[in-house]
Amino acid sequence: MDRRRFIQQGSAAFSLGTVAGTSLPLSAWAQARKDTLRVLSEGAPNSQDPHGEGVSRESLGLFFNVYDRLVNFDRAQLSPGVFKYDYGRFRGELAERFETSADGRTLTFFLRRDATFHDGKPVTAADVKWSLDRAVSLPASKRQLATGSLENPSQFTVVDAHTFRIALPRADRYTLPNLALSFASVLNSELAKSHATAADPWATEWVKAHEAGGGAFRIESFTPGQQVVYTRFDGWKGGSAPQLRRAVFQVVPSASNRVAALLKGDADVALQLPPKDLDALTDTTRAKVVSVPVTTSFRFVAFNTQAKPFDDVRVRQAIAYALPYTTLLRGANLGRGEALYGARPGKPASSRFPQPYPYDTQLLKAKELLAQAGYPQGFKTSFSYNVGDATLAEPAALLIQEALAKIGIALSIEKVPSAQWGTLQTEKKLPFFIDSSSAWFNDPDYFFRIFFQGDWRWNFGSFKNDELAKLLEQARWETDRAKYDRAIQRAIEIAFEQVPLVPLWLPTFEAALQPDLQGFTYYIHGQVDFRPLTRS
Amino acid sequence: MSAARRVVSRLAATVPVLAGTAVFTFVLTHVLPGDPAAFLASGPNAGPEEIAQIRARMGLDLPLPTQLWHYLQALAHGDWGQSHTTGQPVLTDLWQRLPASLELTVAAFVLTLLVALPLGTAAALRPRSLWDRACTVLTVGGSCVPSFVIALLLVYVFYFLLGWAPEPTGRIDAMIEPPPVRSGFMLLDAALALRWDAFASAAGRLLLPSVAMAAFSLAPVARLTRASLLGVLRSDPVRTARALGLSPRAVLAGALHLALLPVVTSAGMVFSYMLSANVVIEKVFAWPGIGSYALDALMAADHAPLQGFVLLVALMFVLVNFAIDLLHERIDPRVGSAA
Repeated sequence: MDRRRFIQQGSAAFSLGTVAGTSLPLSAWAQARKDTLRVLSEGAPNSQDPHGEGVSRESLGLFFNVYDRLVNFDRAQLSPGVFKYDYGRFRGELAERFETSADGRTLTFFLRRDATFHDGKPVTAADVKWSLDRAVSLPASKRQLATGSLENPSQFTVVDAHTFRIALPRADRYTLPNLALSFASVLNSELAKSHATAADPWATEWVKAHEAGGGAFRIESFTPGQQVVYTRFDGWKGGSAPQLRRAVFQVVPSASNRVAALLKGDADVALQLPPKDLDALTDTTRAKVVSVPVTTSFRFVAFNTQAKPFDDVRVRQAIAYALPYTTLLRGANLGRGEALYGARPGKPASSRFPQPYPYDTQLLKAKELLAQAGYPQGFKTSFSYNVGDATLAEPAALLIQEALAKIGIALSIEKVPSAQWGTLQTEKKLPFFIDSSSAWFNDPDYFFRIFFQGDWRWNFGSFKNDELAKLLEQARWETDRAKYDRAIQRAIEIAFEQVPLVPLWLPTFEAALQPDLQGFTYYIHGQVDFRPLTRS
Repeated sequence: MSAARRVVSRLAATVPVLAGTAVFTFVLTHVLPGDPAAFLASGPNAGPEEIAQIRARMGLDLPLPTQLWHYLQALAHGDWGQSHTTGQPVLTDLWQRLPASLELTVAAFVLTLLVALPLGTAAALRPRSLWDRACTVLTVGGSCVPSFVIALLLVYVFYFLLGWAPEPTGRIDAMIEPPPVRSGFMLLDAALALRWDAFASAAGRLLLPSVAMAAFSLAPVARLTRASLLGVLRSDPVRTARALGLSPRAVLAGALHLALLPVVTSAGMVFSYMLSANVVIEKVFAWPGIGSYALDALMAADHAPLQGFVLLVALMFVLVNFAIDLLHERIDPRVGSAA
């Protein structure tokens, strides 16, 4: 060893030692760091109960790492080292395999015989039944699972210790996808039941703060609103053993600090970064940015279609022709998203949804339509956005205000505090606003049912259309692909023509990672799954 | 009146203040627009029935006076309500987080006094000197630049560019096992457990946020020290003492004692203010204190933590003021006898 190398290594060891400030020997510390994943996020998990109420988005990631389900979505590679869940293919997690009866009304799951919970108790069909009974009894999970015909405890049968059967009133293509969601997580029934009380038979109070799972990771410490520390469960049988031994999920509210920690090598994954930070990170080799289009979501501008002036379809079309789409996508979101505008006029290209609408910025057409609707001079209204969404919505609102002024529509911009946003949307008190939303599943009939019908918050435009309702009812149970596509294409045509809201673009899920992290998999919950991650 | 009776009567006077605060914050949070039930039911599948159910369970469907009565009753039994964002009782949350805020505030406060008192004194003793100018620049600068800008600047320079400071996240390195919780004060706990690695990490992480906080609390204390001391130095007793030929050192000691009263008052106010207004600093440094807790609660229409926070801060204000009163009596015996 020559002198220079000796000094270099010596000083490197010295600086590492002081930075770490630990009593561990240096090699052990480096090993611990290598086996640990540190994720920085804006929010934190607030519950350990997969059937809980008011759980934060980040909790979904916890549910997936800590609990197993009968099945999970398989994954497909998007680009080297980056994967996305495959909505159409399932693989067993607790179930070794499953069978569907010829009429599609009976699903039989054969459980792994060696799977145990974190306390060492074997996973049996009785645990699965108790968990699903619990899921269809508690309100938050009940509503979601009902979309897959899972509604009543009497549907779930324990055949023997390792065989479990679900009976359905009719074959439903949404049953399996629902079973792959966190709402169908399997809990350690004996452990949970030992904490149940007469007033709380499902032990919701206890499970909220204590996991009762058997997933690949167990919780070492849980500080609501601050951080969660996970350690690997070495007895996990639901898949190939994860490489990471430990994961630390921490809240860092300031986006610039998340970026700084990532670039300094102190963090491994930074989530929820604003577009400008992501743009800056794209140019560096010290981090890589994963971008996955979220095909179950959209960013949109909505109006109350039941109140003047937006009850007139020509006014809605006028606005669809007046919005400055390209400027919005580039200016407010720095081009990060897939355009949902500018399709060729006419029939929809496919039954995929969301898909680009046949509208583009054409001010003359917009003015003409406004005049036909009886507003040649335009009108005044307010335009709202959620303060929590301000990074994107504020510049967007200003651009929209400027653009609509050109056709005589004067907008006054209202900033709505996050706490109030849900109330105003539920009570349909916003005449005109920008927001984004997502559904669990991508099938167009599912998407339409959530966003274009019903008397609830998610029907952002308060849209009502009898033909659409009929088409969706028909598509719900249609098994013939061609007939399904025909019904959906007609439904999309109605959405094009009637404009219940104006989609702008398809958002992308984005995360910034250390360059050596491989196997990042985007799942339906949009959180970090620690299980497939590896460090090269 | 004896000292003990004065203390008791002063303590009794704080009860209506606290009761008023409880009622006032309750009413304030409940007239805020924003329905906690609608916020809670914001999962992608919640409908009107869920919202009504949640509202009934939280007791939000009852008339406001009934809700207030329930709240006060619970409060009297030591139940400060339940937070739906953290899923824990508010009192537990506050109890876990208060030491973090106190540790940071005390560190920043000590730093403030260490810089502001000598600086203000030097500026008063040598008006229009370099010290005086430095004092002006520092106080004007500290009070004009928003504290989050100072905080971000400190992070950028000392963590990102120079790498001298540790990562500005939380109270201790996430890779280090935190010391067992005894007092909740990280430094104290680490010292008690003889965990010097944890102590070093916690002290390092305390540095940048306390400097950022001290930057804005410096101004009032330094300026008041300067003004108070200037006034005292021009006053009759000091002039007499000088005329009588007392040594400058003795004169200064006497003058400092006289100038102390307004400084203690303002320092007490600054301390209370720092405790409640360090929300921004806590946010930037991901500091798990009561300020960031209240802010998160506000964003999530979570009423109970918000009420708890205001009540706790009111309690701290009352205690600090009480302590200042006692201190006043020590410094100036006239205060006690006049009361």
